[in-house]
Amino acid sequence: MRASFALSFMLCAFAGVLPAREAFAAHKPPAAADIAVKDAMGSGQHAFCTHPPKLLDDTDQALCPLAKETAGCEALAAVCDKQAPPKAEEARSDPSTPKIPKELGTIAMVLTALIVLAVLVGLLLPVLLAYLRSRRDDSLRDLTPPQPHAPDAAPPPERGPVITDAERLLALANDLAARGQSKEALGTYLTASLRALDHRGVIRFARHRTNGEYVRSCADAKARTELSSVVREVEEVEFGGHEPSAESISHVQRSATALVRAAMLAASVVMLALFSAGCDAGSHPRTENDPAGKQLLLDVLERQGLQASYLSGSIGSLPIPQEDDLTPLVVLDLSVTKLDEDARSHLLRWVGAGGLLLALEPRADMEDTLAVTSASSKERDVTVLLDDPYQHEVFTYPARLNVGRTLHLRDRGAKKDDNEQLTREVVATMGLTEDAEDDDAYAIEESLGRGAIVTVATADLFTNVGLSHGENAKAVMALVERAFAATRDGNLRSYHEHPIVIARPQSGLTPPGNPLSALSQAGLGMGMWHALAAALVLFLAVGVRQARPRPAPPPARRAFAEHVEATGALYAKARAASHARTILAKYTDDRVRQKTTQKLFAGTPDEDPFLLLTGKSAAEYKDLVSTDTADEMTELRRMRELRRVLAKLSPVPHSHPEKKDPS
Amino acid sequence: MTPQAFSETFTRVTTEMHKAIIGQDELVFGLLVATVARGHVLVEGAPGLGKTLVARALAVVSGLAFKRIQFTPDLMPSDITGSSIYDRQSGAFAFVPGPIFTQLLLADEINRAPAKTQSALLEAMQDRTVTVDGNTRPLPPVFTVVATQNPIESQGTYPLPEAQLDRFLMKLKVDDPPADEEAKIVRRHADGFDPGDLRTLAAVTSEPELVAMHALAQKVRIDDAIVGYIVDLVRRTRHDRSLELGASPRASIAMLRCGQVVAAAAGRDFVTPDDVKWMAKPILRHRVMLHPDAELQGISADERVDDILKAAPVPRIAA
Repeated sequence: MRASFALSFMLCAFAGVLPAREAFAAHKPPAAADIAVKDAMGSGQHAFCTHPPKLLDDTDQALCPLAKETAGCEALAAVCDKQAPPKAEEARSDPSTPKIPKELGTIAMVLTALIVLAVLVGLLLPVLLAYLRSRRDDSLRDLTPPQPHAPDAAPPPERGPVITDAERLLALANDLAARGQSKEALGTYLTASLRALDHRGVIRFARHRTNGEYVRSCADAKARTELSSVVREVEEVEFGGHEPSAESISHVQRSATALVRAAMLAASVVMLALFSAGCDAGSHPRTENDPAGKQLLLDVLERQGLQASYLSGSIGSLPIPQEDDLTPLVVLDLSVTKLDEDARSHLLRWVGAGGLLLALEPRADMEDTLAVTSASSKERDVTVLLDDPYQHEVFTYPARLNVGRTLHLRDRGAKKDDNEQLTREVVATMGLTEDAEDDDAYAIEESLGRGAIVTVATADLFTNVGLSHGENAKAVMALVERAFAATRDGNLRSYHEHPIVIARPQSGLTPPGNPLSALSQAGLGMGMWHALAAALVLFLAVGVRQARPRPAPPPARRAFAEHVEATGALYAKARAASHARTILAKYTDDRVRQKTTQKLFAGTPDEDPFLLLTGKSAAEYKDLVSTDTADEMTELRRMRELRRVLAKLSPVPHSHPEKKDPS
Repeated sequence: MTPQAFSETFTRVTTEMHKAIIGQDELVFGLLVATVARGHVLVEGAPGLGKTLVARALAVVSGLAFKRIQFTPDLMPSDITGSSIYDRQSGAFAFVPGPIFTQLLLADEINRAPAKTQSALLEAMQDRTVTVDGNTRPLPPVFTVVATQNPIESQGTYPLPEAQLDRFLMKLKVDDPPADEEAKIVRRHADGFDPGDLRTLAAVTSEPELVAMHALAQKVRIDDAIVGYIVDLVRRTRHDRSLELGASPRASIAMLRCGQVVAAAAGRDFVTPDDVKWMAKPILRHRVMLHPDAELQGISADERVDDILKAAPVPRIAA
């Protein structure tokens, strides 16, 4: 491989092209990387050594051995010491340590269960009550005799599919205007304007709102003026009976178009702003102090004369390179960037088509993709090998790792394409040796189609701490150059023209096709279903109650017993038992009169409700009077007693008198 | 008279009234609409909110005769309508007209008088005539009753019966003024404003002009869709579960008349749904009776009317 690489370079040089030599001259050699690191650290933009986070996560803690060996990282080393995990003996000697969290966890689980139960009861209770209420109403409705003069509820008019898109409405209005249906066109122009403004959030579209309300509530003064003119023209035709003139149609068309276009423009601006924010979010923060971050790598690459940035999109959306395309070198830390199936297969296609991949710390589940697997090693020192095609010699760059790992090659087997030229070469070895043997390989370069993959056993060299340690920066730059040189397609354009993109943790997720898959990818799939279920229950609990007024048949009169109960409860609250008795007696009187259509007991004085009730029920007079004479009885008990007596009344059929005489 | 002239006069009267009254836009507008529509107004509000002042100011700027009756429990119907008194000189009974023979009558605290006395207004409000001793006497063409009542005190009051309430074109509620308006009111009084002396106000219209405005308002076009909208709104009050009693067809007619006046006040010769909806609550709130259950739940008539307005679709050309 090295021979073929050198040969191709030589051929180009003899041909007089020599772009590669210019390229080597355009960016700094690996040997200059340590100066770049010093400059970067001196710039004050990287505070992971001087102002490390007070709490280190597992990844950060794994870098502690390197931090302790790095000059200037005393603060980070101190945090590492402070956060060193207690020894097993110490942990066992403290009896309270495991006990308290366990008890707290039990209490928290019980509390959580209680809260969830309370929420469920709180949500389901209104649903249950609404169901019971509807059953009761249905039972009352079933008892209702058919009313000969019941108001004839007009059937709702047939409605076609409602168009809510302002642009489509505008096109429809133009079409109607062209066909001469001026009135319909004007109405549609107005609807298009309202929909557009609703889309902008300037007004709220609702079928109960009047045009005047839309105009008054319009938050945009300019749009309000336009809308007002449209409304005036449309209403003159719709309600004023005026014939639409060509001028008025033209005016409304202009105004409506302006409103719709402005709405679309505003939406575009919002989208652009969001997109810009997203792009901005993609730029790397310069003041991160994460020891395991990649900010220093980014800075050093730029200082070395290379174009480096974070990958803004997903690996699954990397454009498949064509002939002569300038493909970027993707730095993919597989310990933090998890690839989904789509991203993984796309990555292989991308590499096969000419992509360059620098893969760090492969995991076991990446064997089929990278054809390597990593294993622990006692060695912490590595040597990166770099060819110089001009001097025909191999330069070595030593580096020191946090923990040692070696790579072992695996056979791609059936996955290999017939046309695929698969070559592998050891790029870095474990230990300070120049012997490139597979058994102690730290980094391996292999070609895949027109592209190449350089796989590195660990990612710690590329972290902030790893890069700042000793001469590690040179080794890292040597690995980067090997990745560039790994291309087999003879593309010898200048290295610094190739951009380098560093994948983010979320870059391994393929862009979702819809919101549901987005939630699922974000690990919120179960939460989404819970939310949907909760929304449904909430809708039933609250929505049913708030849905009033709803189309309903004329209200059925409540049963007499319910009237007695409701009225009794009302006056019992007011502590007005005597008033309540009079009212109840009048109810009784009304019911019996409605039934017999003649006045019974005409001589009964209305002032004595007991006599009236006695006459119209099977209750004894003395029983009724006793409800009044028992002084010790509370008002509420009196009501109950009275109701018990009234329960002896013969059942009275429900009737539905007209509520009001229309005349 | 043209709709533009109508609108100008309407604006002129409103502007002139606001020289004496700060805020209370809804009250001023409603009173003026009712006057032009030949309706009567029930004003409900706590004491001291300027209800009487607004009525007096309207009388002054409209050039109408104004009389005030303080309703009390011992007020008799004849105290309102007038009565025949024996004239010794002529030897015959002569009719002495009561305060009802005016153009703008302020019935202050109307619910303090018993139902019998309140009913003395029924004929005058409905038929615009007064019958005493079998003789029916007409009232002026412009005759408006502005009745006030206090919503707080209930001791010693006689709630207006439904038949009486239905005679009022609209019921206006007067709320406490916002802080800035109240500050202006106090400032004006500090500067020497005397609410009892409205000589600073000018009569910017007259009875003939109000009659002409009424005639014009009646000619304002009302589309079938608007009629359907009005009927829909009123019928929904009858089918509402929370309402024991819905509004009557008189309410529909009231909405029609008020809508015409509001449209003319805007300088239009046709009514829009906005004109109807604008006046729906003042027209409907006193014509509906809440179900006892709804009252127990603290639901108000205004809330029910609001819900009905939100449920009724506004007529518009289908897209």
